[in-house]
Amino acid sequence: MLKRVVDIFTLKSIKGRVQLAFASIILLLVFSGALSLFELERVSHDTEEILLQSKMSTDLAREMVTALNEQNDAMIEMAVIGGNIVDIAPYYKGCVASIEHLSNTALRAHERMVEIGSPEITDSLMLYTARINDLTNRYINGDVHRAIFSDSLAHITPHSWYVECYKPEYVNLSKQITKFMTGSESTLGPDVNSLSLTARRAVTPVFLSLVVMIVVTLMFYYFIYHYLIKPVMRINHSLGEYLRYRSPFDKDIACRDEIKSLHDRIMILIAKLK
Amino acid sequence: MRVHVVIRYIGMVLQFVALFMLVSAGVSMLNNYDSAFSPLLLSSFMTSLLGIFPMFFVEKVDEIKTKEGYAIVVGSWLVACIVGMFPYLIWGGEFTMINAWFESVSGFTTTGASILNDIEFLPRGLLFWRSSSAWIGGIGVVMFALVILPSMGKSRHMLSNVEMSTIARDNFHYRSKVIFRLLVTIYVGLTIITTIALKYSGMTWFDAVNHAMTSCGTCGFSTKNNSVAFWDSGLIEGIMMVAMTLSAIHFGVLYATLTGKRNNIFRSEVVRTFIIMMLVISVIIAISLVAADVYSNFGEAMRHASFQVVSISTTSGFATTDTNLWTPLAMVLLIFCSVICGCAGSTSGGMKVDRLLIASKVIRNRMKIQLHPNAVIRTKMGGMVQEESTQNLVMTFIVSYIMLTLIGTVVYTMFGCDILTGFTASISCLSNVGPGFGEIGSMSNFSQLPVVLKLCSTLLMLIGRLEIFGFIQLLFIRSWR
Repeated sequence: MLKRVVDIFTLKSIKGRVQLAFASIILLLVFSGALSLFELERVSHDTEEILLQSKMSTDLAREMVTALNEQNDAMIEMAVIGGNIVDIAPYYKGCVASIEHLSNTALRAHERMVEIGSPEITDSLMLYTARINDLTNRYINGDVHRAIFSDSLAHITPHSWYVECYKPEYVNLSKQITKFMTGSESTLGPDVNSLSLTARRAVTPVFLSLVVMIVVTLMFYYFIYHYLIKPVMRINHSLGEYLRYRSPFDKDIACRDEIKSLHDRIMILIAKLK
Repeated sequence: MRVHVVIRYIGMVLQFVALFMLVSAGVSMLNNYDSAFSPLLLSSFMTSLLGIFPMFFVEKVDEIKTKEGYAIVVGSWLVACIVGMFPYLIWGGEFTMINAWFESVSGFTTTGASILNDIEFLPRGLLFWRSSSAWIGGIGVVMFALVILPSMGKSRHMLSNVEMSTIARDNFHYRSKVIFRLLVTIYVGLTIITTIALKYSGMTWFDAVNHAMTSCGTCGFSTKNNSVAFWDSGLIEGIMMVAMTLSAIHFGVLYATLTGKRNNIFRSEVVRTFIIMMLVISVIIAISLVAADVYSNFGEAMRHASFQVVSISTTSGFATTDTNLWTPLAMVLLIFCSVICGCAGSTSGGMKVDRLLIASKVIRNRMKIQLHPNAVIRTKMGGMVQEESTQNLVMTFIVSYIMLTLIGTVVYTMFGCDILTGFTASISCLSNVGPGFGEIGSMSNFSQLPVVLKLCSTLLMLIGRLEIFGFIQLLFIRSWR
């Protein structure tokens, strides 16, 4: 084994050198392939991460919209359509549940934005959620009715309270939920940019390896021609000349491997024939 | 010409380049496997494979012919620049194909021009590779490969003759082995000393190593967007000025000084001229800056002026201030520094003080001959008579330099640059300085130039680094056989 390695590096074995050349080409392929796979894995992971983040934002926004609409429906039933206590009881419960749901979801959305370093996106959302929940709480606790029956808000009805006080807050919060949606998507921008970078990193090694491979193959062809084909052709030609015209066999050969050995043996054979 | 022999020796140079890529990957590893680790590792592997492949087939030779020597040197620069792109290309970011080529050529030719808008965004491994390319380029890819790789036998001397500036070659009286050893000893020693000095004057180890490498390579690559201005420290600037100045002096003269030989720094006419030139220009610029109220006091003006003059004269190109805001006189003097640059036999590029001295003496002697037609007047430098052929070579070089500068300016202006940007870009690339004026001032970069001009810049850098004639030889490659 050691002798074979020594033969390769002292340029004595054409077989070993060709094998080594092929092995290095294969090694390059494997290495660049592995690197590309690693980068592709990262692309896949990053893409998954981005999609997951996007989905989480969408889910949070959907939950908030659902809770807000439930609350709004309940408020319409209670304040605008009205009815006896038995009729509005389910809406009352729904209203209480939606307040909690909305608060929790808004808080989760805010925590997520804090986590990714953009808390300003949900600052207003938190404010408007608190305000609308406060309004709803005041309504279901009877504060609004008490105020209407007292002198302070004597000029308005529950219906007009809904239109003038609740509806604008509802619209504002809807806008904030939309803002959260677009804002959280825009925070994914750097990740998307990094994704394109990683994608390029996955492709470039293969491209460069291909270029290197072409160069190595060209060199390989050149060396094989120079050190294998050309000497064999010369030996063949010279041997032909010797057999035909008895002209002297070519003694000049510049290599140390099996071709040289073949050349030397032919020379010994010719010497014996003489 | 034996192509296989040329390929073998270029392969040896590539091994050396691959080694530095591996070291950069190591730096990347030390920085928690930053994003440059895998690009550097793969690049190192590919470069090593390209380099080692010819060694499987081609035997070492005892003698290299002149033409082969030229082909090896020029080929090594070109191939090193090509493989030097690999880490940048694989890493991505701002590095498109042309940008990676520009950065690589700029590093290996020690020009120090950049296309990067945000240098600090680069991972440390890649920053180290950037500085390494400049350091390798500083002493010459081939030169290093010859010293480190011990299997070249008699062929060493031939390559050193080709690689070194033609004037520098004449000054080297030492045997070839000694030349290689002294070059490496001085270069490595200077880099180590500069690193330690920079570290203890306020830089981190990483910044100190990088700046020492690019100062000694007279390249000017920095790890900060604001270059040396980031530290705003007179001590750091002073240390770098010393390192840059020493790197721009003939290494043989430095060796003679260290070993107490006769032809030392203090007796060298060229070094004397170089130092005096820098001093005088610094003072004139400082006075003009104070007079124009750019700086309020002379001390501050002198600090910035001397740093910029040393930085430009040594072809480094570090910056402490935006020289675009300086007076026209200061700008013209800095352009003059960009043309003349350092001494032959150093890591600096440009026309060289040696040539300026010989040319001025030739002109003076011609004028004397006009007055006294029968007089026999010899051109001497450092007490040695300069032969007619040397004088002709110097004058031809100067004419070629001027012609190339003008052609470069025409090309730059043809593609939309203003005349100041075009002219200074042409000079700065040909002299391997880096910054110029206008759009490519000391605080800006080459990123906004169109692709054609980036290519033109890299061509000029290569021509300049190979002392014009080394590159021109390539055009006549067909007649070599």
